[in-house]
Amino acid sequence: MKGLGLLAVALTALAASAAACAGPPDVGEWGRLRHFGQVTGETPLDLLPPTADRQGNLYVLWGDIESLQTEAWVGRAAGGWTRVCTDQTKGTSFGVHGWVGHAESRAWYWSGDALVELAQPSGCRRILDFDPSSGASLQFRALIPRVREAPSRTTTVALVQSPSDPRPFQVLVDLENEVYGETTAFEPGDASAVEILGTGANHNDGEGVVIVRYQRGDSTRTEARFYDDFAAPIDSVSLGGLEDEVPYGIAGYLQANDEGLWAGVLSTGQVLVFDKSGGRVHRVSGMNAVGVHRYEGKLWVVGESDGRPRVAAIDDGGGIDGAQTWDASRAAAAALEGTLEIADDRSLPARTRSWKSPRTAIGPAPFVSAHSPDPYADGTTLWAIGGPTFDSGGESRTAAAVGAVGIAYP
Amino acid sequence: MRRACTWLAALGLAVVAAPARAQDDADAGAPPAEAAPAASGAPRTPAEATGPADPAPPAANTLPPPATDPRAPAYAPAADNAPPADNRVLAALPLTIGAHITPSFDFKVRPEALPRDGTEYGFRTVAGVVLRASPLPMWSGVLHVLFEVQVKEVVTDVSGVDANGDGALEGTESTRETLIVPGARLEEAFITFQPLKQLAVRAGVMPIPFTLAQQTPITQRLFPNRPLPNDVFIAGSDIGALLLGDLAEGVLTASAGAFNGESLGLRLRGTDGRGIAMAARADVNPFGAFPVREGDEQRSAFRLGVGLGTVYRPQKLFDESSGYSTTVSHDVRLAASLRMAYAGIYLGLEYLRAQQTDTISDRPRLAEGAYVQASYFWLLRPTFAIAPVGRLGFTIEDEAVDDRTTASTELGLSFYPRADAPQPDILKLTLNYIGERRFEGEYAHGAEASMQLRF
Repeated sequence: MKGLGLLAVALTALAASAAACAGPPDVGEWGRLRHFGQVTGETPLDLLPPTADRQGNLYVLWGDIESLQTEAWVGRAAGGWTRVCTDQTKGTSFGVHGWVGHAESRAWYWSGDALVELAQPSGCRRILDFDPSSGASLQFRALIPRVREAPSRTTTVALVQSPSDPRPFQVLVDLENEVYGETTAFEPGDASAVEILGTGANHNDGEGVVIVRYQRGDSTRTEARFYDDFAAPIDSVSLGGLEDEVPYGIAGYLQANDEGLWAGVLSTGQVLVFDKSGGRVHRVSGMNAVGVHRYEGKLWVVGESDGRPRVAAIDDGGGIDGAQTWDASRAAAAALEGTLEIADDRSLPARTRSWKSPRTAIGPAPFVSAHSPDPYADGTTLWAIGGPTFDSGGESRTAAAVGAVGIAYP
Repeated sequence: MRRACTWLAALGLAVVAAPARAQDDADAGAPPAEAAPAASGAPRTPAEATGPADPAPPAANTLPPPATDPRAPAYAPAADNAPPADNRVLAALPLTIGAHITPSFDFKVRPEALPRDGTEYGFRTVAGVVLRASPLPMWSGVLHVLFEVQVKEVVTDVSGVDANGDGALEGTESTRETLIVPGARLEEAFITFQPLKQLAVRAGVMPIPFTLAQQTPITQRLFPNRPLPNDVFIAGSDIGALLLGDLAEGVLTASAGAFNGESLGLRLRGTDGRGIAMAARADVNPFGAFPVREGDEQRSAFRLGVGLGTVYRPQKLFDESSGYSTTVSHDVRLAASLRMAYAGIYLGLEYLRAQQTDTISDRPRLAEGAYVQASYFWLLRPTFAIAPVGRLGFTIEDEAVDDRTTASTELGLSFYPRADAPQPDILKLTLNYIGERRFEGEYAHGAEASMQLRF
């Protein structure tokens, strides 16, 4: 009996120690880096910060708002990669807007006028490429970057338009069944030349926002329109100072803090902040603003100055604090110096490779991106690094890897 | 018609099992105490003769009082909540058969779901046959098979009806489909060897001794189903071997064993994991042995039980498509329980936690859950009792990523038409409300009516 008790204690201790040895990386520390493929160009590459679904499958997307080319990879949670698709962009004007969201074992991105699903092992497909009832080609003019995964269905909110529609419709897209509902026409009914400047989602309260600009008579109006999770308009506010902003000019997505304040970096490098009562445009001193990030309910403007990562907090009143050096980014960059072991599990069995002083593959420094890094686990995000670059068919290609890295904001 | 089918199935099982004399059926339920001596002519035990306040059996992993007859089975199997009325009886009858039948009707409404999934209702019957034998001194075996038939009426479509053609919908029309789902599974099939009073070894199919709920036999629960948090972490039986120990006749019990781990929930999809699950559990019952049953139908003296269970499963994960090993994962689960019974009042709490880590993802998968359940056995007449029962529980999955919480509420009333029987739950009727609040604010509401007969 005594032996049995000791056995139970030993088992508990063994279990606890095994669990403790495999925790997430600390701030600036990299976890296991996985080589997923070769990407066109040299660092920094046109990669979005990678994302992961609930099961832990990883998704990497190459593309840019100004390029129609895309390339996507999916890494299985337990190892192995698939280059699932290329060039799924729809339309001829815009490229990748960003990730829309993820669910249990899938992720979606928005490129041009297309909503694309990535899954393992089924690959990728455009969602609602054509209207199920009329057969007309559907354009996703705006997408709220939030996927609501409920027990009953998995949905997102979008503004869709067919070539014959003068104005878009607000719809709730059922991502499982590829149907849309809760359809309401864009108001006012006499609006014309509807343009989208940017979109965003507040995961904290299930709210989305679309900044639209349209003509009504001789006047141009710019509004932030707020939607709930079921595509119902809940509020709108007029915004000034955006007359010259280009369509889809807001870098990445608009981000919101826990107090309902929204912010985004304009194509001019200025920062737009607004809530449901109004908004204003700020100049940022001390750095070239790249994007707005949300981290633990707060907003941060991130950028660089002389190649150094900089970050500035946005307070609840919409003011922007002074820029400061982003220590976590510098620590992550420093951790890449020297020779790193990379797991090459593109095909199994996995092999280990050594890369000499790899660099961040996204932005001027780790974490500096127009897109807010996706939370991966507590205190960590996914980031990509670039390894050896070589010529292939007259173009440069760079070996790239992805892994978890500890992140923090000042 | 469906109701008739359900009852016929139940009747069929009853007929099959009728010739058997259930002496000590654990899961099937013990027979009335007076039946065994009458059938065998053997003298009753002192406890039965004096009308024990608590004829409840020892816990699943506890040992019964020592057998006086060396031929008698020394170890009561896990499901056995009713120890032999008299070991000499069992010695003369090396094989006993018991059965239990639980027909039920349930319905569930999910207001936010698609019309197809919005309403679900149907009959369900769970029946079981238990065979137990003690062919040799120190050796015993149990075979417990569960049979299940579900008749489900599912609304598959809802469409609007424009009866007068004016373009306005006057009503809705639904399409239903009937699903009949039969099945049989091994709940328990094991051999026990007990060389010493305090020690036994068991091998075969059995529940992993991780949680309290997992060890409670199907007929000994407050509700027809195990708590939702338990089913998220572990469900069903497993295959393995177990070492059991008992000190001071149930005051301190412990068990440790190794299993295949197939009954563990929260598994990583798309992978084929290989690894032995090692489990251990210890229970301290300072006021005496605490039977593994929920409720206090015996209206016992004060009892208190504290328990701790753990499962550790190191496993190699293989890619399903290529068959290559990609990573090693460590799956650690802990369960802590507290239960109390006194004069018909029963209270049970259990907390569960799981942490799964691996060598590739740098992302621990964390989950936790807990539930509390209570009942009061209220004897209204000498032959009739009721018991209000309630259970609240929650689980949180993906705690390290984007946590999802599911909460459940179950409230009900159990009726005991033969409360004067030594084991009042030999015949039990229950009416339960089942509510579930799932993530993203979606709800499910339902009710269940069931009847249980053990013989």
